[in-house]
Amino acid sequence: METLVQVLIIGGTVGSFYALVALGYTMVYGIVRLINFAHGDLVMVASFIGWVMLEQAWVQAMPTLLGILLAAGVAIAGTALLSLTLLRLLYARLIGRSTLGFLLVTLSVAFAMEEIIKLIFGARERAYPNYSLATETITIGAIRLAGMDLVVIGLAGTLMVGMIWFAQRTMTGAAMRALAIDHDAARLMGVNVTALIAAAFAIGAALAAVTGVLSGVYYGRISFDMGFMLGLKAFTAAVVGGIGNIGGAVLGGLVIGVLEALVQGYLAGAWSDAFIFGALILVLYLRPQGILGERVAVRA
Amino acid sequence: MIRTSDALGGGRRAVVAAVATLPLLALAACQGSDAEADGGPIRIGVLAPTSGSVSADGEGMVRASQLVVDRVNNEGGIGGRQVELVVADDACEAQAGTQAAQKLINDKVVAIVGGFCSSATLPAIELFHRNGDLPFVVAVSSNPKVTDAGYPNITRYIGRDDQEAPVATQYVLTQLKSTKLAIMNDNSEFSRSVAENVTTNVAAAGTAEIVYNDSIQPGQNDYRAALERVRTTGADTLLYTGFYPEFGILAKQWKSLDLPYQLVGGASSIDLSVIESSPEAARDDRFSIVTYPTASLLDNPNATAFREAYQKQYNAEPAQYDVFQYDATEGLVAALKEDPDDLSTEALNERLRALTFEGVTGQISFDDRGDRKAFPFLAVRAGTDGTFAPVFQFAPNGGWAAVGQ
Amino acid sequence: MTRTLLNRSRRHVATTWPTSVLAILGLALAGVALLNAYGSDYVTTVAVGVATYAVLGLGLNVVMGYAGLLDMGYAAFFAIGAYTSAICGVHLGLDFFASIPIAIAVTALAGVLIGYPTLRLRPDYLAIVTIGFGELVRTIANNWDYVGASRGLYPLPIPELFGFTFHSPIRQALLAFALLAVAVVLVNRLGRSHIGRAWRAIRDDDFVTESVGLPTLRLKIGAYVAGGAVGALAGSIFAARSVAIDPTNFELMLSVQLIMVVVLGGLGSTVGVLGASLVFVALPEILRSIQDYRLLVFSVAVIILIELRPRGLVPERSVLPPAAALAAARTTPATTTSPPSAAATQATTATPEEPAPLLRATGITKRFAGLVALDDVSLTVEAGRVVGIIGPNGAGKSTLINAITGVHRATSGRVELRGRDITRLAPHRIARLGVSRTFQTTRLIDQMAVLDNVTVAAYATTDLGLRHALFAPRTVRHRDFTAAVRAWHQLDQVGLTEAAARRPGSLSYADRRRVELARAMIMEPSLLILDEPAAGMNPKEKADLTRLLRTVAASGVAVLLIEHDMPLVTAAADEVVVLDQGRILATGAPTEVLALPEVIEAYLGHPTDDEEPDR
Repeated sequence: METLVQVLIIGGTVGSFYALVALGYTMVYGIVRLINFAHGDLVMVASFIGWVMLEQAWVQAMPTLLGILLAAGVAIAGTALLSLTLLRLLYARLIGRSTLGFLLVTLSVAFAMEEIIKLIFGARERAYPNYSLATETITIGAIRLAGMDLVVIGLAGTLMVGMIWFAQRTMTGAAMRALAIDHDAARLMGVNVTALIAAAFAIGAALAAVTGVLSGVYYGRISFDMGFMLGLKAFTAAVVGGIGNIGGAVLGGLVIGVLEALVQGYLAGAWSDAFIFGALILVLYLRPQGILGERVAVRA
Repeated sequence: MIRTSDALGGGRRAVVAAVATLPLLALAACQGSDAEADGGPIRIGVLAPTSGSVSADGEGMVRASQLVVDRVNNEGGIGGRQVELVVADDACEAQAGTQAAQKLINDKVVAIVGGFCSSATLPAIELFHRNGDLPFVVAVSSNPKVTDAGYPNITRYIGRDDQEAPVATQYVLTQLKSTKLAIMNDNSEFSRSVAENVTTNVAAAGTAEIVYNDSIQPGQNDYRAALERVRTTGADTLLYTGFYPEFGILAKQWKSLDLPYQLVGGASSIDLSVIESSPEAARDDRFSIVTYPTASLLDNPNATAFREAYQKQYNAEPAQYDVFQYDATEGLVAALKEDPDDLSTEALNERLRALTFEGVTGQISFDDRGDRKAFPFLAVRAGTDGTFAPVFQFAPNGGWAAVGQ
Repeated sequence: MTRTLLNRSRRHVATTWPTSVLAILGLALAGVALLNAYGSDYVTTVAVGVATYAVLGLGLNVVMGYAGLLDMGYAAFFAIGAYTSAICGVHLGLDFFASIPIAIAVTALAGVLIGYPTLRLRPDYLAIVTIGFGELVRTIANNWDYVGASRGLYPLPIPELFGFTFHSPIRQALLAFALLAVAVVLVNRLGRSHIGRAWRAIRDDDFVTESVGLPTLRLKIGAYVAGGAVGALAGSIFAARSVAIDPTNFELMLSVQLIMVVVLGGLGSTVGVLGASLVFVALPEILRSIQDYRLLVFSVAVIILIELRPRGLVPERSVLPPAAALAAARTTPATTTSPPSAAATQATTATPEEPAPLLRATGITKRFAGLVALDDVSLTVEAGRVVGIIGPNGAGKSTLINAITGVHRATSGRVELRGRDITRLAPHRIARLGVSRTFQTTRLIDQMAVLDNVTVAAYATTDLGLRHALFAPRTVRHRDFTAAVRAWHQLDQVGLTEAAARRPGSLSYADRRRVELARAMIMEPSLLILDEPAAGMNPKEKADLTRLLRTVAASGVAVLLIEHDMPLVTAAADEVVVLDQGRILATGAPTEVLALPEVIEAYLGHPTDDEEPDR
């Protein structure tokens, strides 16, 4: 029983990482209705930016938490800037014009970013500094948890609540929801579509950056190829939860994370990706709109 | 308007076709130079993954061979002829391996040394066999199938997966005194193969039971669920047979969960990044990696000489498996030198099998399959200087013993 | 322009299929002969690698280049093909050549199972599901002991045909090149057939394609499965030339690289794919140092290419039949498929005892997330009559059309066509039953010539299938010509034959509307729905349109006309229905209805905000 609880909490942590990335996916997808394959690799780029920062002597001289926050801040700024640059230079002219073109360009951008990072930092894994806060454990009865688990789960929860608040209570959020329902109508109602798409890309990139640095600090290892699969699974999470739906992204992330942990802990670890993608195909068969989503069929 | 684009289209089609044919033409052009005649250099093929995910290992292998060849050429070559390396990149995959092997056959090499990934080595072996049993000195591929086909042209300098497994099993059973063993692999061919062989060996020994035997999916960040599962089985030792990236994560999470069993990594788990990401785990006295020795872990005059020469020439530390490639190249050169006038494949194959010498990796001789009779093995853990240091040593005849006893 | 068409006709005649089949086989054999004479075993081995890659590229090109579907798990088809052939050889003792059809059949089955649930959804879902499918197949192969799990299957038997064994590189090249030639021929036939044209239409606008009566879901599944079958063929070739296969041969990276090869070769271009595979496989063999930068170079090249020229390096050209032939064919009675045979259809289906109206919509209500767009709307249109629908913007006119044509299913209510319930039918089925439409904002397929835009809609009445496309090119070509003649005739009706070979994008707004009208008419509708056809027309064009509508109606077709132009409605319509805020405000003769005070108020009293768009 304790093991089950423990495995569920581990799944919750893994799922929270997926959820953070899925939140970014859902925001962008909600507006442009296109998969950004390069989104997962923003996580990777952010974790490398964070790593470079944390390797600096003057950052290491700072108090640990301050250093990490600084690195995260720089990673967020850098990743958001990168994302906006890509949007402006490459994506913008394809959105609404060529679905296939957008998918192919983001796919290529994903691999170009990986290859560039590989050229700069090499194919070998890089290790984040070894923080004691990453290994601190809390014991409740027979259950042992890393303190970071609570941080990660808490952060995902907070950001989800923040995003829901943003979507429901701010003008920008309302405009985004309107845009998600009907582009043309929203445009005619005076919504600045270009600015909103940029906002969604920036927020998504910021969430990806948080994920990248957090994951580096917690798990300690980063590599050039860590992002793509993470992005795919996060997108899967967003679809399973109901794409375009903020609560759905978090729920989907948790479902995928917990599924992964359960398969690893109770079934057969070798099959965990198969289970995840199998779950995706099953969901698309039975409930294509996802757990919390609205209908997504091209036509009803 | 359409006509213009049409004409353009036709022209472009021709251009595309012409551009596209260029590579094959160039390929055909650059394969012509026949250096068959006596007096020309002796060509040795190197089959190694110089591109792709393990390119660092492949480059290291080429360097190790080059070191030997440079020395031989400085000493006047073999029977008066210079030695030339022909490098073919197998990219660690079957298709590229086939092409690389075909390239070497084409370039009329007298023998091939190398072989890192079994997936690339196996198709190459088949091709060398079909082309008159061209001698292939296998340095690093440990898959049993490399020699199981029974071809006369294969000699292997590293242990087989099913030779490594008994040694590792013996270590776990006798030195770590495991009675409840958990085995974990990373779902790769190499890792699964070792895990299966360990399973068989543990069953044969009969002193321990296997309480967990499963794969993990590589590329993930969190293996705590699997580690927890191992704990619930009551295992006293976890042996991981996979590669180091996941082992680094396992070690870190094993330490942070403070799990009650020992953690042992297999031969592919050794990498400095494991120490970097979790020094506490790597220093823990319940932690060890059971492995072939890397150059820095070998303590004999040949190894010292090799390291010094390698550092002098390349200004770098040898990669993990370079020592085997170095010995394999030395062995091949020795066989060539024995009778420079008869470099026929049959004669070479016989001489390669019959070799006995003291290499960097210790005593080298072969059984009638072409597998090495005895090979060195160590158990290591992080030392005080932040690198790995041996804690146990395997002697082919005496079994395992703690270092320094 | 006529000269252009004639020019094209020579090419058209020159590439009749049997000749091209011989030419392609000859090229393949010449390639093998060249390799035999000048190529070493090494070059030959590389050439076999190129051929394998090229077959894969061709197959993916069907999925991605023809139908515009992003398949990111294409390696799965390659894997299933290779494994099936290997299993046949290793476990079942079957001959290699017998294993090819089995491999293709197994792959096709897998394609249907994956394609059916996914292709109903948004196009990008296919990308993610196919990645999952690819990983699933690889994971199964890696863990299934029957196929050797991670060890793979080894050794594979050497293929043999009547005692001729394919053991040496040159013989493998013979096999690979022959199969490549077969793939080139079949894929080209598919691409040039009516099915290929329908795929390209789907690629550019699947909504329109569905609306002209083509079963887009089935066609997409067809493209996915056909592409998969070619992938299986590549897999079989791979198994034939390999000593061993194991799961590492079929990773995600292979699928990604193939996508790049197809994009760089030019979507839909066979020559481009062949060239790109050659560059991709052979170039790193010459320039070893390129190997490590290959992925980066290819990704960047794809980005640049798409940003600059979204259609790829080698543009597709559509081959039109010669104008003279089309014009001539029109005059011969045999091929004159007189346009609106709807009257005849009408006569046979409507029994005299029970004269069901052509269209009857009863109690149509449509809600969008709480918003009521249509509220209990009922409407009847008799054959041979023009019914105008007017109403201020946002009144629900387009929604009503979407409900009738099946684009949006009504929340409640019932639509009947000649007494048959069509409420829940897919749009293409409704179109095939004789309902055709034009769009408020014209929707033509810009990548196709005007004539092809019209011809595509004629396929709805063609019953030729995949079998014909692959093995009966003459029949297909004949029918294609007939369809083109009909399209020519329709263009003639709207006075646009000169524009037949042009792209719709180069036409004026009014001309584009006329093309849409021709496209709607070629489907031989019994109900023609026109969504603001007069927008952007000058008075003379409007007068022509009015005349045309009356002619169409006189031939027995019912016309539903949505229009803001009151004089035109008054002149063309027999009856007018006024919609306001989703309800019917008034029905009756045009002049009477337009005089009603509430109608005038409805028009003047509402601010003009936007109409619901087509979708």
